[in-house]
Order: sequence, then C-alpha cells, then structure tokens
Amino acid sequence: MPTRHADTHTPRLLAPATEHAIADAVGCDVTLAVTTTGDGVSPSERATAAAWPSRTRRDSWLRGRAAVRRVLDTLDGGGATAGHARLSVSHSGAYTVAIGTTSRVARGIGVDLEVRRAPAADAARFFLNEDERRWALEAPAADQPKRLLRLWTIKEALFKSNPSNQGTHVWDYRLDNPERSWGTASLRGDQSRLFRYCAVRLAAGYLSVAVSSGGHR
Amino acid sequence: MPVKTEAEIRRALREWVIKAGGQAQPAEVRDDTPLIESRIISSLQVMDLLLFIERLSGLSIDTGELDVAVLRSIDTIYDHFFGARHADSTR
Repeated sequence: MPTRHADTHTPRLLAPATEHAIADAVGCDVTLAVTTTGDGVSPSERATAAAWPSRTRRDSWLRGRAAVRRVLDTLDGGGATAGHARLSVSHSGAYTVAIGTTSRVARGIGVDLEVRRAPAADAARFFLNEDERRWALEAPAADQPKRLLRLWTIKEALFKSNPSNQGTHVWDYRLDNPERSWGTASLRGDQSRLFRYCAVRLAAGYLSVAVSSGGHR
Repeated sequence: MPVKTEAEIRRALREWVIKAGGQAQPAEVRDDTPLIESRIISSLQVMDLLLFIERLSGLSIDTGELDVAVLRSIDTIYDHFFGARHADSTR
C-alpha cells in the first residue's frame, strides 16, 4: 500500500522503505511530512505566532503549520482539505512530523515522535499495564529506555488516533502484544474500535503511527 | 517531607512546570493556565509530573483511577492532590 512522502526536500528522518511499511502496518494509505522550519506558512500564520513570547513554542507551531500544509498539498493530489482529511502532528527536538489520510478505513490517525528522551522507568506504572510493563522492564537495563520509549510513542499515537479521546489517556490503550513493533490495540472498556499501530526505530528515538477504525474486534 | 503551605506547594509546582517544560516564560504560567493544552509541558512530561506530585504529596498515584482533568492546571492539581489534605493538616 503506497505512502506518499509530501516533500522530497524534507529532512530524511525516515527512509522511504520505512514509510511503505507504516502504511502496510496500519492498513491504509498515508502521507507524511517532516519539517525543521516554518518555511511556507502564510503571513497571517506568522503574525499569529509572533504574539507568543516563547520562541520555542512559536517555532514548533510554525513547523507544525508548514508540515500540515505539505501533507494537504500532497493528499489526493493536492485536493484534500483539513475538513475531510484525518491529520495528526507531533513535535520533538528540531523536528515536526505531520501525517494525514483520506482513507475511509481510518476514523482517525495519530502520530507521535520522540527523539530526545525516554520515560523514566519509575513512570512505567503510570502508562503501561502489567503485560506491557513486564516486557519493557525484563530487558537489560541498557535496553529498557528503548522499550519504554517505543511503548510510549505507540500509546500516544493510539490516543491521538481516537477521534473521541476526550476523557481517555494513554494508559487506557492496551497493546495486544507489546513485543511487536506493529500490531493491534484496544481501548479499555470499548470494543467498538480497532486500532492498528506501527513503531519505527529512528537513529535517536521512535516514531509511531496509529489508525483507529470501526468494527468489532 | 515537612508540611508545606499552599503557597509553597503552588510555587514548587510552578517552578517544576517551567523548568521541566522549557517551553514557556514564567509570566505565561499562571495557576489556571492549561498546562497540556497550551503545550507548556508535553504529554511525556506529564509522567514526570506525576512522579513529582507523588514526591511532593507523599501519595501513591493510580492512573487507572485518575481523571485526567485533574492535571489540567496548577489549580486543579493543587485542589485534587493537596487541597483537602492541606485543609485537614492546617485545621
């Protein structure tokens, strides 16, 4: 299943072959864009951002707008609008990634990027269930941060992919098999949704994508 | 940990949020500022915030029983984790 990279000039955070794997794992066509600058945003968007005192927040917001614009310019041959595309954005370090789909399969899509740090092992009990925690913490100490970070980004992507996520948090989403870097997941107390996810190992972190769809498991 | 006053607890929370988040100027963080919605702190940093609240309050937090709305701002964090206990301890 093809995945279209929104801009060949975006930073190579992900290899093209990996982008195809994401689409296969989540079961629908997706478009990705990665930005490190706000190049291409409108003057009004720049004016909005200029009002914020924090340069860090201003820059990340502009990068997000630029990334979403690139996704929309590519989805459906540029015919997509924010109104009918499912979109998600994530920021980490100098990078912002946006992902979008117009697939009917997807009720929602979520992306999470973390390139800077992993959750503390002490915090695992806050967002992992017993099976997930066992897998993450049974690893040698040097590997635990990678496993914790992979699970964190997956759960964050799952949360974002749920269009009705109000009142839920990352700890409400459960992976059917936490050992797998791609697979299915569920929302505690709700069997009406099926979630598919894929986690991609990066040079310094993880990028995870999730798609929620209807239908009983 | 010695009993802290309400002002000390709120100050400790505010200082943690500003330092950990690294995204906001001190003037941007009021006690009613939405911490996650305003991207003052990231969702990953919420995990560290929970650990900090545990240390500050002496409580053990079970996220399975937690309404995420209590993490919305310093006001809601104080009210949920410290408010009633602080009122009891200073009565």
